[in-house]
Amino acid sequence: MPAYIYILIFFSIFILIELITVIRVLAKNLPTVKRIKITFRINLVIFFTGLLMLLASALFDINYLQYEAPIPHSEWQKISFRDFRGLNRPDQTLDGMNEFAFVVTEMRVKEKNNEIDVTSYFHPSRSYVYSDVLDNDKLLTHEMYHFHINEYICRLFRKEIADLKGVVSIKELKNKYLRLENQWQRNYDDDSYHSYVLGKQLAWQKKVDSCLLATKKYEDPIVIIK
Amino acid sequence: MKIIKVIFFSALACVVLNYGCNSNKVSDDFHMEKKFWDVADYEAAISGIQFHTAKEEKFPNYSDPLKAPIFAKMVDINNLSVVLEDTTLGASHREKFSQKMFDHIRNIENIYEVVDRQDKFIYPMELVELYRFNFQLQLYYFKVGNEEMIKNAVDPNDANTRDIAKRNEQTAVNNYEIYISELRREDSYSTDALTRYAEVINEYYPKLIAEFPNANYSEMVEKINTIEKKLKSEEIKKALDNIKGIIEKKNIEKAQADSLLKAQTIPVIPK
Repeated sequence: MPAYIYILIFFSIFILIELITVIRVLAKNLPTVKRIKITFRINLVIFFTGLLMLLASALFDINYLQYEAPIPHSEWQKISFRDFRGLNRPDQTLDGMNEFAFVVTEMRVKEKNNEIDVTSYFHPSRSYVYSDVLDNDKLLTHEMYHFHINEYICRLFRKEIADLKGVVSIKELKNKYLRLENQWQRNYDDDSYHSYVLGKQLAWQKKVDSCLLATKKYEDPIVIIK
Repeated sequence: MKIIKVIFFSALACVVLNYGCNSNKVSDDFHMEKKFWDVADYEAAISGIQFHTAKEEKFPNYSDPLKAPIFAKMVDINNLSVVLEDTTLGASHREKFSQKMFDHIRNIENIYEVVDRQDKFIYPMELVELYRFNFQLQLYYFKVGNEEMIKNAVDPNDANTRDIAKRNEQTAVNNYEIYISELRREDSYSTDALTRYAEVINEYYPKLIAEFPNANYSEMVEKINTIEKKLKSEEIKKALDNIKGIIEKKNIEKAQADSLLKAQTIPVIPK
């Protein structure tokens, strides 16, 4: 769960307690004006502090200050580490390693008339890199293959939609492919250990390349429903 | 009252979010969150053990539930195999890695060879596991070293290259022999450690002989014969007899193969 959610919960509980207290006080005898003013000021301070912390935390989830629109898979070749605009979290490492990146991809599904658009996106403002060397090709390759895996799963989804006969819940299908994608992404990272195990990294690259080639027919994000 | 409540809740949040999980934390020298340790991780671990372990504290060992995983990580052979068995990595890279690991593991062995007032090892089981790790590393080290040398040689089949490769293999055998000599300190090991030592001998010496069958094992056999007279542990004696048996069998097979080859090359003089 993102950090700002925890902060939001904490401040919401606290402010709720304050609100209940104020309501109870108001329901009885009215306190002095001074007491009301102090209560109001404290709650205002807490509210604005919470709001600032919320905005600050949200910044580490999506860098809205340097926002870049999501990039579809068809344009993956233009992606470099300079597109990883997410903010580095202070003192955070991946298993103690400083040279790593984190990529956020999305399988976006839009239904329109008799068409379904299933597009794989890379989110620049949510993806971040910890490497001081932005020209680390091996690291970028590893991250791009996370994107390729997302695209491959999208293609499998498109294929199933294209072959659909009868009424099926697209939402349930999407969930099924999201679970499949999670499994692939986890296995990829476990096997290659974030590209540290070069042999496994290369084997995965070969595997994903052949899967993409085998599903090239389903490259187009738009699928017409029969 | 309300200000007190604000301070209380903020402090509680700080405690829960920042410090709640940090009691009984192992030192940052030990990168326990990493799946595989590389050379830098071993350097950090050695520094942690040598310089950041308080006098009254023990080194990472199996008896300490908090530190046992550190030791297990240190002797995890996967740390070696993940690099040294990966043929997609260059021979030169693997050779450098194994050289550095070799230096580190010798350091760690020296650190753990501490004895008490009765000349008994304080970490006998840990030492045996370090030896096991060292045996595996040596198998990789000399194999990869030879591969690198052959790859870089102008003529891999020339006499000089083959001679160097042979000497490297013999060095591996001589290194393994050192750990047979080490058995002269049998009394410094615990009974459990000796049992484990026997298992490690049975596991790794056959691998050595299989990996480098053409090396000379006569000195090893001699060493075994000498040390067996002093040994008390039946398990160790049995393990060493097993190794002698394998070496003798290999020698017999080699002699038979040589005589067969000789018979085939002797020209038949027609009458």
